[in-house]
Amino acid sequence: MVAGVGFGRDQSQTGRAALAALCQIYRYPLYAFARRRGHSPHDSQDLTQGFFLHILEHRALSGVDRLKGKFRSFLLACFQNYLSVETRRAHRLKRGGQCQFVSLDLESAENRYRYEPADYLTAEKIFEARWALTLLDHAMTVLREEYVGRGKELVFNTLRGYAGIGENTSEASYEEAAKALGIGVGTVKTFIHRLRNRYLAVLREEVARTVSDPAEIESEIRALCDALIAAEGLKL
Amino acid sequence: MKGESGEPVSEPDGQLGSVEQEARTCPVCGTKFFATADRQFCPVCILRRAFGAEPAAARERDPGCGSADSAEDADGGSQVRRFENYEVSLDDDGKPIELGRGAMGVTYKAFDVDLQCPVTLKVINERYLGDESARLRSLREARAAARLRHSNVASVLHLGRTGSSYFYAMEFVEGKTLENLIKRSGRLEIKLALEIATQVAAGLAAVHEQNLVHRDIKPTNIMVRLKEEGSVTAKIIDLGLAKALDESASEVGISMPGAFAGTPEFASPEQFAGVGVDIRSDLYSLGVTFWVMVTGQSPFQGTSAEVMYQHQHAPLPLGRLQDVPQPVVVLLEKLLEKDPAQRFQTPNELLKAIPTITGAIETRRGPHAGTCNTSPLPPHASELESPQQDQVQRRFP
Repeated sequence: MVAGVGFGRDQSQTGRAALAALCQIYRYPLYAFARRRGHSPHDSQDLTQGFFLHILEHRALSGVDRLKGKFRSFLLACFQNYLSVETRRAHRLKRGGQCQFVSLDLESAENRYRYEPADYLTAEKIFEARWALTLLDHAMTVLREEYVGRGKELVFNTLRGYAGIGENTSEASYEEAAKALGIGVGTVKTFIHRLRNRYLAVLREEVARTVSDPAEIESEIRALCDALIAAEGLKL
Repeated sequence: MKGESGEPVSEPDGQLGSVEQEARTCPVCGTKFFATADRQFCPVCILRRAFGAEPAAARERDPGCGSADSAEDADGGSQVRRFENYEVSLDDDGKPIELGRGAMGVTYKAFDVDLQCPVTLKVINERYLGDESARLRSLREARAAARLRHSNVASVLHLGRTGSSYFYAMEFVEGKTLENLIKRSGRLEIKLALEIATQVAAGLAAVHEQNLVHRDIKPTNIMVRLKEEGSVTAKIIDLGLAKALDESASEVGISMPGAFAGTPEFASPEQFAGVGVDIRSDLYSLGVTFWVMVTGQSPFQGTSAEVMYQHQHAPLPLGRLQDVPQPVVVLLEKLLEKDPAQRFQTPNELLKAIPTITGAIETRRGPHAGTCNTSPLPPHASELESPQQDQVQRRFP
């Protein structure tokens, strides 16, 4: 599980940094979960940040590498447990101290949460749908960094809209992109093909990081797709 | 994202920055979603596409690789295929680098992940290996081929089996196929063609020493590397059809006893006849290859049946050799005799004859012949003597 991070076995500085990086990526789905459970924006902010500090400081995920299943499910279970413990406390602990590595912009997160789907979705389903979108966004961020690193930021910015399937496939849009990049339409199509392939590859790598067994990938994807479909359209 | 009024609203993205989102409906699956600048596509489709059930379809498209450990990627045609420690190499578009495709299977460029070096991988489907005796025969032939080490033959490194497919790992040879070279040039200069033929004959001599017959000598199975200084290296590749000489006459096909194995355009009359073949069959195929090198076309053309008939019964179309020096015409006639007994009996006989041919050409050119360009590079037609004008001795030492 989480092969690219190495929880549990690796409590070194590198391992902690990797965990912090994952927390950065997936903090918002947990925030949305906390809000859905009725916590106030400020409490949700504190709970989310406190949870990640708890993980890091108490090595709460030290057994992750020995567990079977999905990191997403495990993380949510840990968070639920953490929320139960915390809400039983009479007062909220001061969390975080000087640690700034999981800085969650409260206002932004709350603005984001205001537009989450309607009431009948469970907190778990919202968490899953947000996790899926976070995963997609993170893969795109990784892809952007790759292109920028190769000095191809313009190519990325021009063609990122084509990463999906069945989008922007009119000849006119290809010509427009070709004009913007100063290359031929054929080359644009090749670039799009590569960008799309790479995006999907990054996506696979990211999902693979969050499951313990490759056999889990399919069910993980199915669960994420189900959540996205359940959440679709509710705000339209 | 749009609010109830349908107006775009601002929402933090994954980086907690503000981005516009816009409601869309996926044209593929109908799912409604909110698009951002970075995510303008349907999230459901993209996830399904990234992890879709496409490997099976891909395997059907490519039966030669049906049993490889494979991980399909997003565009359907792209996948990482593993055959034990050999990983099929992919091009920039994520597609397997295919070096050749024949009746027996597909040849790929691959990478030995253990030894960290490129190899050529030929994947042969089980249906071409037939029953147990055919498999054993194939194994024996592979072992014989593996013993063969010669600078003009790509070595067989490994024979393995993954699922229903057998595969050969062979030495990866840099360069172009002879077919590519001929296509690019139209036809080759005589001197270059003779040099390539000499090296192929040297390779066949090594094949013959192992009591093997290649059975599929042709331009696509000869790799050529032209060096800047004008020298050339030629290597026979693909010993996948190589046959041990001690097989019975009926075992001309690896898995299909009595069936034809090879490429009709370059096959010998005895290959079509379904009788036993020996190294003289390969010399005939080398003759056809040589013909193609110096004319740009094969001597016999048409449907497979027509080509087969012509190889067995039709006289050589010598009229097409108007621009070819007479000594080379004589050599071609010798190589392309219908009766194996009338050809060179071994590759070494051919190797001994070639210097005579070269010498005869040089003698006839003379120091000021000028029009007969025998420089190996660059290729292109030269004004050469016609066969009718030449009276070169049609006998070889």
